[in-house]
Amino acid sequence: MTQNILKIENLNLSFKDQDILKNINLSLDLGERVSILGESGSGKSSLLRCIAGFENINKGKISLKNEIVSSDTYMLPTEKRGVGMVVQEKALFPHLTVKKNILFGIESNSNKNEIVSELAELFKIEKLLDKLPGQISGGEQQRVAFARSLAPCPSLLMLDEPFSALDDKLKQELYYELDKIFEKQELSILLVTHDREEAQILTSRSLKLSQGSLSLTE
Amino acid sequence: MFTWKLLPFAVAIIFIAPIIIVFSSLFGTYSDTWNHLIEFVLVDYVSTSIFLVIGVSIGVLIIGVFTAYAVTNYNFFGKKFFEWALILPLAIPPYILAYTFTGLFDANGDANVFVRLLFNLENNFVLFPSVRNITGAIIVFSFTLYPYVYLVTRSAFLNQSSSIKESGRLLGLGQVGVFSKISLPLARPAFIAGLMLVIMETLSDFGAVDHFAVQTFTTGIFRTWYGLYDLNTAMQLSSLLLMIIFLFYFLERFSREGVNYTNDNSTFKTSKELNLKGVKSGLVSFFCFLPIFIGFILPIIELIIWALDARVTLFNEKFIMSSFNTITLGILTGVLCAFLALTINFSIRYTKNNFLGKLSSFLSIGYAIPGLILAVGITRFLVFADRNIFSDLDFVITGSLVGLVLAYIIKSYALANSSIESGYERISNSIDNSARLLGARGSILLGKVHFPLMKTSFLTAILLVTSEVVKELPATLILRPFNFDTLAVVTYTYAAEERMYQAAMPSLAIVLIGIVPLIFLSKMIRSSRLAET
Amino acid sequence: MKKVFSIILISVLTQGLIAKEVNVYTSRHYDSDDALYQEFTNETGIKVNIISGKGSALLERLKFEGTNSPADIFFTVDAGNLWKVQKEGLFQPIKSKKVFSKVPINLRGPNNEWTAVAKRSRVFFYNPKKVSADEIKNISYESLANDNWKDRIVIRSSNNMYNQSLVASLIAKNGEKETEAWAKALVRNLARKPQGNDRAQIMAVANGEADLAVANSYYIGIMLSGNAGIDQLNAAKKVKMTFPNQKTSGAHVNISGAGILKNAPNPENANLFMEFLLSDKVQEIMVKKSYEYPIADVPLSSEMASLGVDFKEDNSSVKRFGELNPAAIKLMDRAGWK
Repeated sequence: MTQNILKIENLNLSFKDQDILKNINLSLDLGERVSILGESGSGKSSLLRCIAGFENINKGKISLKNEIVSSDTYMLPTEKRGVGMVVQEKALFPHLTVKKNILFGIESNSNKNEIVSELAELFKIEKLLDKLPGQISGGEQQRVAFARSLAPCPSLLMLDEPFSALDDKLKQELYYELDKIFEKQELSILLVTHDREEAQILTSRSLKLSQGSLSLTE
Repeated sequence: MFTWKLLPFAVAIIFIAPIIIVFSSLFGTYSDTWNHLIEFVLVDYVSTSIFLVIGVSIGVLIIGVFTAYAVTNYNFFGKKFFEWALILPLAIPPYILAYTFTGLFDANGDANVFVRLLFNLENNFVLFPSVRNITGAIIVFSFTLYPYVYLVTRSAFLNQSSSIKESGRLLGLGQVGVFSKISLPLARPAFIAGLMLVIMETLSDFGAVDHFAVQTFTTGIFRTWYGLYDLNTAMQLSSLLLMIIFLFYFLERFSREGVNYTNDNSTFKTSKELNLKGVKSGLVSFFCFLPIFIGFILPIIELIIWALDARVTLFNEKFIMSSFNTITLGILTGVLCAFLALTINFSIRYTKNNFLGKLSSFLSIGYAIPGLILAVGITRFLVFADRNIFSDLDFVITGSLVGLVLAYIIKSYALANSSIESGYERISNSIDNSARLLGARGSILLGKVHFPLMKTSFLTAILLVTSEVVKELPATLILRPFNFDTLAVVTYTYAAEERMYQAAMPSLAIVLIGIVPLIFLSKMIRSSRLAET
Repeated sequence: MKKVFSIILISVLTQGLIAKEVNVYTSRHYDSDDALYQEFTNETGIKVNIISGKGSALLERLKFEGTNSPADIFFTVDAGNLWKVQKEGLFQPIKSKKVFSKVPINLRGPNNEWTAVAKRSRVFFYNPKKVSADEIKNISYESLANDNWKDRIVIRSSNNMYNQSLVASLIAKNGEKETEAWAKALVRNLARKPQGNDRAQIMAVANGEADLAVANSYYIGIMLSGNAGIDQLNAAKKVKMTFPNQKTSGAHVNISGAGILKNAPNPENANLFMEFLLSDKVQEIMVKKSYEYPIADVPLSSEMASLGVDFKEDNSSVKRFGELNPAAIKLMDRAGWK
C-alpha cells in the first residue's frame, strides 16, 4: 500500500476580503511528483505557504503523512512539519558558507558530514563548500539551495518557481540532473511553475490553478 | 576628477588639524605626573571605564536589539506607537538623565518621597538604591543611548528578506532559533556600528559621570588638567583614549570587510508580522515601554515638577536668546556637516580613492574626543590660523563662531557620515555607470543623480547632527563667543550649583528642540516600511 | 562656508562698533551676577560682555589668545584659579587706591595682580541630635581624623576644588606628611563614598545618613532662603553650622576674586569695573544674593548672620592654594579619597 504524504481537503484562504484559494482539494502519495501550473497571482505560492505553515488557513484542513497540520483552529509550527522548500530567490544564508548552509538543518545528525559530502557530489558543488553565497553564481546558488533542502530528508519537497531566475542552458542542465536525483531518492515533489515544459520534465501529473481554483489540465 | 580628489582632501585637513594637534602631545615631553597617575589612579580609571563600556554595551544591545526585533517582526499592543517612540530618549542627553535620576532616587529624592507618602512611611525609609555609582551610570547611558542601536538594527531587520527567515523555519528552527541563528548574525554589522557610536559617546562623556562621581578615564583627564594643572599630560591621556577608540573602529571596519549581506533587491520580500495576543502581547508591549519610560517620560516628569516648583520667571530674555542661538547653530551645523559628509563620500565613490576613505574614518573618531580637549585643539589651531593665514586681514577667528561650528562638525561628523554612507550603500553602482555613459560628470552626477536619491539620508544626517549639537556642552562652554549662551550652557551653569529648579526650563527646552528632528526621523521610520516594499 | 564667514564677519563688526565695553571671562555663574553687570552698565554706560566657563578652560583660552585676547577681566571663584593666571604672567597689577583701601593685603595677589571680591568659609554642618556638645566644642579640621568620627562624616569628592583648596591650606599649615595621615584617617571615617555636591552633604546630615558634613558656608544661606524649595528649607532647619578651629588657626577661607589682564583692550573700564565690584552697593548685593561673606564693611544677610557673625578666619595661605593644589590632589589620590 502506498503511503499518503499530503492531503488537502476543502482548503480556503483569504486576505482581508479577498479570496486567494477557493475550496482546494489535493492528494499526493509517497514518491509522487505533481506540478501546479498557474500564472503569477493565481495563488500557487500561497498554496505552498499554507502547506509549509506560513499562512493561517480560513477553512478546510491540511494533513501531512495522515496527521492534521493545519485547520481553521490548529497550526503545527513550520519547523515541526518536516517539509522542504526551494524558492526562486534561493534564500541562502548570506553569512554562512555553502557547507554551513547545507549543514544548517542537520546540526544534530551524527552523520552530518557524510550527508554534506554526498549532496555536494550529487549537486556538483564540492569545490564551493567553503565559499559564501555572495561569491558564487546564481546557478550554483540554486544547486546549494536544493542540497540544503534535501539534507534533512523532507517527506515533501516543494518547489516554488525555482528555475525562473536562471538562463535556459542552466535550466536544461538542472532539469536533467534533478530528474535523476528525484528518481533515485524517491522524493515526493510538489512543483509550482508557469512553465509547461518544466512541469512535463519534472513531474508525472499536472494540475492547473487559476484565480484560486484548482482544476485538471486540459 | 582632480577637483574631486582635492576638495574633500583640503576640507578634511582643516577638520583633522585639531585632532592632530591633540595627538601631537604624544611627541612632547612626559612629566612626573605620569608616575603619580600610574602608581595611584590610572588602573582605577581604566578599569572603571572598561567596566562602564562593557555594562553599557550589554545594556544598549539588549534594549536596542530586542525592541528593534519586536517592532519589525511582531504585531502587538501599541506597536505602531513604539516603532517611532523608541527613539525619543535620543532627545535626553545623558547628563540631564543623570540630574533627574539623582533628583528622583537620592535618599530624599522625589521618587523616595513619593513612596513614603504613598505608604505613610518613616522619613528615613529609602526604597530605591543610590544611583550615584557605576551601576547608575550604566543605567543612564544604556537608556539614553540605546536608540543608536535600535535605529540601525531596526533598519537591518527590515531589510532581511522573509524568505531567508522562512528557510530557517523549514530547516527546523523555531522563532527563537531564527532570531539567534539568522536575524541576529545578519544584523551584526549594523548593531556593531550603532554600538561603536554608543561606546564613543560613553567614553567621551563628562557631565553624567562627573555628576555621579564615577572616576572614568575622561574624568581623570579633566582632573589632570584642572587639578594637577597639567594640560600636556591631559592631552596625552586623551590621545591614548583616542588610539584605543581608533583601534576599536578599525577592528569593526575590518570585521565588516568582504561581508556583504545586502540582498539582491529584485528578490526581496518583506516579512509578514506575526500577531501576538494576550499575555505575550502585553509583555512585549511592557518591555518596549520600559526604555521609553525610563529614558524619556520619567526625566520629563521630574523636569516638569522642578519647573513648576521654580519661583522665578522662566521665559526671560536669557532663555529666549539661548533657545534661538541653539536652534540656529544646530541647523547651520547640521547642513554643513551633511554637505561635508556627502562630498567626501561622493568623492570616495567617484574617484575610488581608498585614502579618502581612511580620512573619512579618521574624521569619524572626532565623535569620541572629549569636548574640552577638542576645544583645546581647536583654539590652538585657530590661533595658529590667525597668526599665519589671516594675519594680514583685519579680523580674528579665535573666539568667533567658527571655532564652535568647527567643534560641532568634528564632534558629529560620524553621525552624518554613517547616515550618508548607508544611503550610498543603497545606490547601485550601475546607476553611476549609466549616468556616466549618458555624460554626467562630477557635480552633475552628484547634484542630479545622487542627491535626489539621497534626500532621506541627507535629511537624516542633518537631523542627527542637529540633535547632537543641541545637547553638546563642554566644547560650547569654552569656544563660544562673548554673550553667547546655548541652552546646554544655561542648564549647566544652574546644574553645577545644583539649582535644578532653574535648570529645569532650559533642560526641557533642550529636550523639546531635540524632539523636533526626532519627529521627522520617526516620520521617516513610519514611511520607511512603505518605501522599502 | 560663505554663510559661516558672513556670520562671523557680522559678529566681529558689531563687536567693533560698541566702543564702551568691558570683556569679562568668568567662572562664576550666578544669576545675581547678571544683575550686577546690568547695574554696572546702567551706572557707567559701559557694556559688559561675558564668557563663562570652567576656570582652567578659560585660562587655557587666555593663554592661546595671547596678545589677541579680547578679555579685560578674569573673575573666578577659588584662589587657585587666580594663582594660575598670575603664574602665567597674564595679569597686570591693580593700581586703584579704592581697591587697596578695602581689601587686606592677605587677600590680594603678591604684586596686586588680583584681589578678593567676596569670601566663603568651608565649615561643618552637624545633626545636633547625634553629635554631642562636647564633640563640637573644640572641633577642628584636624579632629575629623579621630576615631570617634568613624563612619559619621560626609564630604564631596576630591575632584572638587573647594576640597583641593582645603587640603592645600592644611598642607601649608601642617606639612604634607601629617596631612596625608589626616586624609587617610578622614577617608576611614566617611559614612559613604564621596558623592554629590556640598548641598547634598548637608541634606545627608539632615536625613540622618551621616552626622557631620563638610561644606561651604553660603549653601546653607541659599537653602534657608527657601529659594531652593521647601525640602531644602526643611533640611537646613534640621542642621546646625559651626566654624572649626576657632581656638586655633581659624576656619578655612577661600575667595571669589578678579584681576585685570595684561593685554586688556579696555584697561580704564576694567579698573572701573574692579572698583565697582568692591563698592558697598555691590558687596551688599553679593551678600544678599549669593550668601557670601563681604570684603567691604557691609552687614551680612539675615540668613548668614543668624549662624554667626564674627568668626576667626584662616586666610593666611590663600595665596598659596594654587601652588599647592597639585600636591593636594596627589595626596588625596594616595589617601584613596575618591
